[in-house]
Amino acid sequence: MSMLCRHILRRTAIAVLTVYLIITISFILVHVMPGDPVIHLVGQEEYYYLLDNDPVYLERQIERYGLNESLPVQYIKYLKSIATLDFGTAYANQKPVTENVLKASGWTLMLSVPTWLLGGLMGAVLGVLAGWKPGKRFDKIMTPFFLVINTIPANCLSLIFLMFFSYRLKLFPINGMVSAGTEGIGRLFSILTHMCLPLFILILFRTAGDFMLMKSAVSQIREEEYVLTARSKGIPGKHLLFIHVMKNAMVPYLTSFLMQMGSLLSGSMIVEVIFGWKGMGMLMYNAVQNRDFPTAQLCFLISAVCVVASSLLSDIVNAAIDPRIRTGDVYET
Amino acid sequence: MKHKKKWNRAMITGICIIAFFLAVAVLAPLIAPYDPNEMIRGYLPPSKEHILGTNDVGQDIFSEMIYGTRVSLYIGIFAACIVTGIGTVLALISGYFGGVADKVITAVTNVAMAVPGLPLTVLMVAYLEPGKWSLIISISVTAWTGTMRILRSRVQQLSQMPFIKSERALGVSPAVILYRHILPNVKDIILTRGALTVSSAMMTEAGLSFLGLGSVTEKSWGGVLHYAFFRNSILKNQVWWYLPPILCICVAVLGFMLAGYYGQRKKA
Amino acid sequence: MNKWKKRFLTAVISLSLAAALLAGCGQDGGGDFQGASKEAGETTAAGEPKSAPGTEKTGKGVDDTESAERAGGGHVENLVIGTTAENNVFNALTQKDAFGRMNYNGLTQGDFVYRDANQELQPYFFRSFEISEDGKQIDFTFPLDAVWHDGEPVTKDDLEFTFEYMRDVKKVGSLQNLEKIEFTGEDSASLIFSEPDAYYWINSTCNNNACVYAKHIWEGVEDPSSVTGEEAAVGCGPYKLVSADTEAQCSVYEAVPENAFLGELTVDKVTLQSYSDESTLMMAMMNGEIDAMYNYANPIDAPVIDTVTGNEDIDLGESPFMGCYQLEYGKDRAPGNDEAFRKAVSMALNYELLASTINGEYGMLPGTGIIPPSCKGYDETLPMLEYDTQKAEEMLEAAGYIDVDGDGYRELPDGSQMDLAVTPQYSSSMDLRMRIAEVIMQSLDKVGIKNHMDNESITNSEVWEENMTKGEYDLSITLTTSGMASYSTAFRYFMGELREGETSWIWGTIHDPSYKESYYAMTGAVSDEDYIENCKKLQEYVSDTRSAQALCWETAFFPYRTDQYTGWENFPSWGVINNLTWFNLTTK
Repeated sequence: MSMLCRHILRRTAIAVLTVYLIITISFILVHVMPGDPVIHLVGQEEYYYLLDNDPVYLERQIERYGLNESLPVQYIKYLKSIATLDFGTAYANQKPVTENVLKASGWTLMLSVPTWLLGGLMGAVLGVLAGWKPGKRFDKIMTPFFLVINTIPANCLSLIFLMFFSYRLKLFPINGMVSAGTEGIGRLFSILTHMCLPLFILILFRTAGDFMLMKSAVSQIREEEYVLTARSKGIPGKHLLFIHVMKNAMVPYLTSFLMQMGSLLSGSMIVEVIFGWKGMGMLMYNAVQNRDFPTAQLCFLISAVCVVASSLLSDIVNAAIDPRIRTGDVYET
Repeated sequence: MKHKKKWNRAMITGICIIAFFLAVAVLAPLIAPYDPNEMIRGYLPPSKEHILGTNDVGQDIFSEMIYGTRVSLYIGIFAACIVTGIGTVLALISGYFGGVADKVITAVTNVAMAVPGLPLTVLMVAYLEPGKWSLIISISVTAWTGTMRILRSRVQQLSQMPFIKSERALGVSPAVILYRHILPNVKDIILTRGALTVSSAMMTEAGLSFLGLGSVTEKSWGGVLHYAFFRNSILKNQVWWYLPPILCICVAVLGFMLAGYYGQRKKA
Repeated sequence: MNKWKKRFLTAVISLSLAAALLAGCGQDGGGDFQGASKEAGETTAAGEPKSAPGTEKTGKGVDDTESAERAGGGHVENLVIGTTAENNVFNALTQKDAFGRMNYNGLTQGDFVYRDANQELQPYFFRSFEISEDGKQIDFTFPLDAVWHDGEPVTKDDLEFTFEYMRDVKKVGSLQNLEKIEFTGEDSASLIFSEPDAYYWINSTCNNNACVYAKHIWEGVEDPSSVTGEEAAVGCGPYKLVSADTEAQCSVYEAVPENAFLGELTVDKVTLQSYSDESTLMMAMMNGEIDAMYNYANPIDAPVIDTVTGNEDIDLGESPFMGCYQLEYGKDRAPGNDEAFRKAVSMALNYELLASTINGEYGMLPGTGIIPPSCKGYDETLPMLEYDTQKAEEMLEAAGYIDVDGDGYRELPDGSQMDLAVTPQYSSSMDLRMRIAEVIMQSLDKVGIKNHMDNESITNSEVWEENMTKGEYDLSITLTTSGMASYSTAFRYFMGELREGETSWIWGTIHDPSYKESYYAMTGAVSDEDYIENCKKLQEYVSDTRSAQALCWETAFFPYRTDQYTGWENFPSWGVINNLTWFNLTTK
């Protein structure tokens, strides 16, 4: 067990270091980005107007966001801000960045958590069904179907759905997250109707990906196990074999399932942009487009921390399940 | 037996699709009825002269699509080359030599994996001068990690094989071993991963172009789609404008995926 | 095998059931909401008799019969205005987004004056105003019964504070020469300038957030954006903010009868709803979710407007647009410094294609004086631009631009290579500008002028700004918004030098002193005749020298629904949402 503890400790240390590196990289990337942030800070139209009518306001903004200081100074300030969890004010709406990000995260999680769970579940179930008997009718139908789904870029499918279900059939709202003037149950309902299309698309894609994963794991392990057990015990019983296969196939599937947690916040950018869903993906896209440094940095950081944390988690779970890792028998992957 | 045949058929389909698009790309000037930059008259619906009509500035959409094949394939294939190249080299070094090299490469891979991919790509595109290569670079920056990890564990396995160990003991130079023995053994994985990477690069490119981050002067399929969307063709039901790029992207991606996916299955 | 099949079938069936259920929800939800929002609107205006709200959602036909039953000319209970600006910032001094833009129409803030449909200044918060002959003084009167939205009365102190705050804290350029504010009576005062800036100042207060500031809120505040509470939105305009929902991107305003500057307020409540883009805005209008739209100087794009044409309940809100896209030749270097070259190029541009690119089928061939006919001071005697490639080529040949080395492209008269940089103005959405650039590039290519897109400028605002300021461009595409066009005009952009103290927008390359003189004579004009006279001089100048040119004259669209309300007044270039809407709009 101490082996496991040491393994976990080491992994955690590496994860922390990775996060630090990413903090630095994100800082560098964001700050060497071209474009005068002051213009984006207030908007171009506004910038020239302010230059004429309220130059003091502009100067104050530059000072406030520390844009006139040297990069190292800004870097130290940035590290400090992370340590104190004070990420400054977003240019876009003059509100604290943390508040914006938390709000956006909430909206994104509303899409991504169901996607993760439902997609993971459906992908697993369908994948097992197809992988258990490769080449049979179920596999013959599902595999090409999901393969084709896998080939459609998210933006294309979103557009087609948008056109068909929202514009033509008018079944769903075109855009946004909630209708104005709704309260209580009505508001919840309104959110749900706005969620339908993007959620459906995200789940479809996730199911397709997970299906492929599960299917190939099951079919591969089934073949191997079948040969193995057949050699030692003769033709195995169906149930026994199934349990065996599932046990082995679940490990890689669980690993990648846990890894998918990392993209909970950043994984739905394009769908969010198309459906006007003001989540993390949209926030990040706008921040990058508008050179909104504070927001872009925090978004980056949070998404990266998520990825690192989820891979750490999957690592720990793996180590707990797989005895070879526990005893330090296996080289790190 | 029956099995194998079917897999192969899927792969052949994939290869046929790829060959078709490659041919279109190479022969673009011969096939395209118009210069894709030539501006004739805006918003013409499909007709005998313009099979897919014209776009908002009067360019022939059919010709645009044909020339777009060039750009889309170019970006997809070159991005895949870079991704697979980087992935392979790093995997060989780290998997074969182990030790410090392995540690460093693994660390870099871990960091690259932790960076949120699409946001970084969006950032990079915004930051490089617009053009095909900035797209290729942005797509490649984080995409190599998958290939690298898969190859690395395979190379590690191979390095433990008795015949490699014995050659090593005999003092055969690592370059020779890697080139002669290891590379041929991972060739299939590389090709498969390569084909899959082309498809994912093309999908990313379509997404980026759609967001308006694509190459400006050379329009890819994604670029055509972007303008179709920007000019509201969906609401105006100009199917001939927005559907062809979507179909082309999907079919081409499918081609590479079939080749890659079933190529992999066949061996497995 | 069979078992799996069965399970699969059940799975498929339950999935499709779930999907159907969700779809059903979608329909019901949407319908419910529409009813709900209207209901909400009607319950707030208490006491007035009205027909059953539930029937409203069923469609236009019902609406018509219903409105026939209603007594016409009643108050508008809830005017829903759509916009693509966000509902994010609610601060009277740093206002932007939807809130800020709506305040150009005196919604929550007491704007001093407004510009009417004929572009004449009219009193708003000021009850009357008069500019002295020397342009150094404005006498105005103000209301005594106006209140701030927090209940405090608007006093002399507030007015005094406002002007001092604008001059000393915000450092507003047009007020830099303000000497003092002098109260001449119970409800009258004068602004006294040391320079003739009065006319310029009062004109520049339209279409921006110059308005009366509440002393009890803003006194001592150095950084207005640090005020984040509800008080930040307080104004003395005819409507006060009562609720804001940034999630639903919607804000609601209620009438404040004390501040009815132009008579009785006939709109009781205003709802401002943001949409992510123009096409969703138009869909919302077609569905009846919104009654009208406001988007500052950004009319609905021509390809988008096509989606609502033919709907009998929607008026397209068509008007000639005052702004325009324009092209300036870089006159600090060859070949832009050659008048003959400029004239040849202006002959080579495909205006028909430019028009359809910029404004669809509604675009018009522009004249040589740049500013469109809807602008004040337009000179109709100047010729129109022409498109004739053959003539253009002849002109180029005559001016010495000949392909010497036979590569298919012309060389400069001195025989050196020519490769023009086309530089569209940097913006966060470059799509249309790139399209315009493409058309221009293609046109140039046709007459043998080699050219390329200035790639660095289109991705980097700093590079673009620097190139523009230094005059390092051959062909620069810029946009004059209707806001700019209504007073400063497109000519502002072409100035090579400005007068002392002004630093923004030195993008132009006209260094001719006579041009500069005319420009400042125009903006500093103390009367309309003066303004028009100088405006014509500027048009003549650009027409003669072709230093710059317009690319298209546009038609603006600000559609609105006509089935429920009447009394809309469509301000050219601005649409039906303006300072008069609050006082004129009634039910049918």
